[in-house]
Amino acid sequence: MYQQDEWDQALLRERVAEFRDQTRRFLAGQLSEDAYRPLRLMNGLYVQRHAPMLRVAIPYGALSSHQLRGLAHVAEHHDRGYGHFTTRQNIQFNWLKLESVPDVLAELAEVGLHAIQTSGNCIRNVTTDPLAGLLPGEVDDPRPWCELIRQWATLNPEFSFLPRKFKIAVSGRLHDRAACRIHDLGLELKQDDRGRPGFRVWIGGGLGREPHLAQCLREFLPADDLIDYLTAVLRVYNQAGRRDHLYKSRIKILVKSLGIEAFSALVDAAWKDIIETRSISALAALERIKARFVEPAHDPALADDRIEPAPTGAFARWLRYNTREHRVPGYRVVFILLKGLERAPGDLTAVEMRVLADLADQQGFGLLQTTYDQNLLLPHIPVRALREVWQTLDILGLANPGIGTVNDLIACPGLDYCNLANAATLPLAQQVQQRFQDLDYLHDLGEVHLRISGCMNGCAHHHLADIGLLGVEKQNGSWFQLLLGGCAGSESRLGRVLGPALQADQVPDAIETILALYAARRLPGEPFAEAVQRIGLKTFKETVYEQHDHSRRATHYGSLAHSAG
Amino acid sequence: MIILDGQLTTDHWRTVQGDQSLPPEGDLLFGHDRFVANALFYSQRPGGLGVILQPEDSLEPILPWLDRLDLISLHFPRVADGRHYSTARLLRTRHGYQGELRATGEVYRDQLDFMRRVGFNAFLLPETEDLQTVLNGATPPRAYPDLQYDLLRTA
Repeated sequence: MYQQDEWDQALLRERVAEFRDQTRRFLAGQLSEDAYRPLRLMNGLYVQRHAPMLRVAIPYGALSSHQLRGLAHVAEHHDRGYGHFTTRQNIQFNWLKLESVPDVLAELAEVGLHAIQTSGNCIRNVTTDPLAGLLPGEVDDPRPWCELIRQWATLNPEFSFLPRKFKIAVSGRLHDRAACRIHDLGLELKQDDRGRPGFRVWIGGGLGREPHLAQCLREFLPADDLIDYLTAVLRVYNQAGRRDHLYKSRIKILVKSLGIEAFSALVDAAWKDIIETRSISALAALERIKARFVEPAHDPALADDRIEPAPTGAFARWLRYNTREHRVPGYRVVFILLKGLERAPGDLTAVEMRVLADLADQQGFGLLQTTYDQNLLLPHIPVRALREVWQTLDILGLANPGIGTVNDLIACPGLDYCNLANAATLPLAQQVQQRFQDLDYLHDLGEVHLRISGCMNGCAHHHLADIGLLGVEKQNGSWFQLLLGGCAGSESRLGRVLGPALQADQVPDAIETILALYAARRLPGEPFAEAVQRIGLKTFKETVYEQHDHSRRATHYGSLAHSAG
Repeated sequence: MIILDGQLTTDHWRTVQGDQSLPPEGDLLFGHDRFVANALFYSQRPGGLGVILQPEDSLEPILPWLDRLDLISLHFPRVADGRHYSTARLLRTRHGYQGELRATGEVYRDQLDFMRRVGFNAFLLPETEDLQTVLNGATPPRAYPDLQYDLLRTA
């Protein structure tokens, strides 16, 4: 994990002091709402349905036990005792008081956390593969690059008032688990034919109102040119991106309107200028940053450890589904599923945060990791400690072996918290969890990704799910459109709309029908999205809507909303 | 009053409106179109010469006159319109402009650090801002200048 130096820490303290002064001026009436808005957004503060919401950055998801305790403190003293992990590997607090936010930020700064650039029209938190540097056979570690990009982006004076937000993801070399193709800019670490490091650069991806998969902007960018090149891309966007219309101002719209060739030519011209005037060596900066990354000291003596006695029952099942092989023999990666009957996806209480922090300290080098799908990892757990870790997690109710199943669903906060939402996502998430309780069935189905967004802004990334649910605007309760067959990664595909929206209470039935069809018709080992491609959306559509016509005829139309659990 | 190079200074520039006749003397500031249409003539008259650029104005026709220009005033119609941060940086680096670079419009104390770091050295703030307080509160900004092409020496 990156170890902050005095400069990093002083920067956080100075920003807190600055924001404290800005908030004081706002509350005293010296700053207008309009003038205060970009300032609070730059510090992660939204004004939401019930109270201000603060989004705290967890840079590329890396979290220390010390920091998790800091978050627990904030949850307990300033919020209602819990926090909410998001799909961008951050954490949100939903029940703060505006006046106390400067104090919250000061407390967070003490543990090296902040909310700088977690919202507003600037470069947001960089995300990456949560398994980066953990699995066997992965050569390149994107995290030092993420830290370099974070530093370049933090309070970058040229790019703090962009047309719209700008999100960057970095993925390691072998697998894209960072969803590069749905970010404004995606970087895939690769090597050229002479083994030199560099990146494939993706541009203009994004979901929301007009979903686009990113296009390849540059097949190979030498690693040393990264800072110059990113600056060129952002400069073109800052100057040419539309500012007249909220929904037309993301870079995807600019790339689409210019065409990828013309956009690329503008970037190359700006890049040439930068090289000729003042070039920054990214590799030299990376060396400085790498020196501040401390790797856990794995014990080679544990390499031959086995679990004794041999695992059985619930422990064996948890091991199989919620842990992964580690690149260091004698260790495993442990997943913690933050989903369940009593838990809104991504929520964690202050008490749980403290227990997990202690567990990380006792067994896992004090390290944790947030993931893109709203879960947590204990990245370095010795094999010999697994049983004890499982027992602790089980007591907390956090040992559900549902990683990757339908129950491991992603949901945005929806109507219960968010001003933008059309539909209540959390009750539906709970209904789905209730419907699919049979672990044997879930594990037999295998990996099926379900995601629920409360509006077309698509915070839960429903377009990339096997089964995506989108809350739509309608009278009388919450309605959802279903999308099938999306997937993330280099071969990303957007899900396609199944048919007319269904009322929330009908959705669990529809999901059950879809899963049953998949289970009956799949080829051995065939993933869900591929089965949808092969079998055809039409078959799924007919089956789902035929079932619903039956149920409509069977019950009095209009009371259907109240007929299901 | 304006802030120029960290000091409070009287603004001695006169802005010549589009339809106004040319004053006989003084340091004169023109809008983009009027300046471009008459640049050769204006460049030969005595006194200071300046141009005001809106975010959408093209820099190209200004470039031949950079050595003659004493003031380039970049106007911010809204805080959120950040195009001129790039304009300023380009003027100072690629085009080597040495004269006064002034920010006007929606320019509040909270933006000044960013503006200094891309090359602005003068600021015309709204009357609601207490300039002395702003000056007293000015501290060298802390960010990551080595990675951000900073044009200002920082702490």
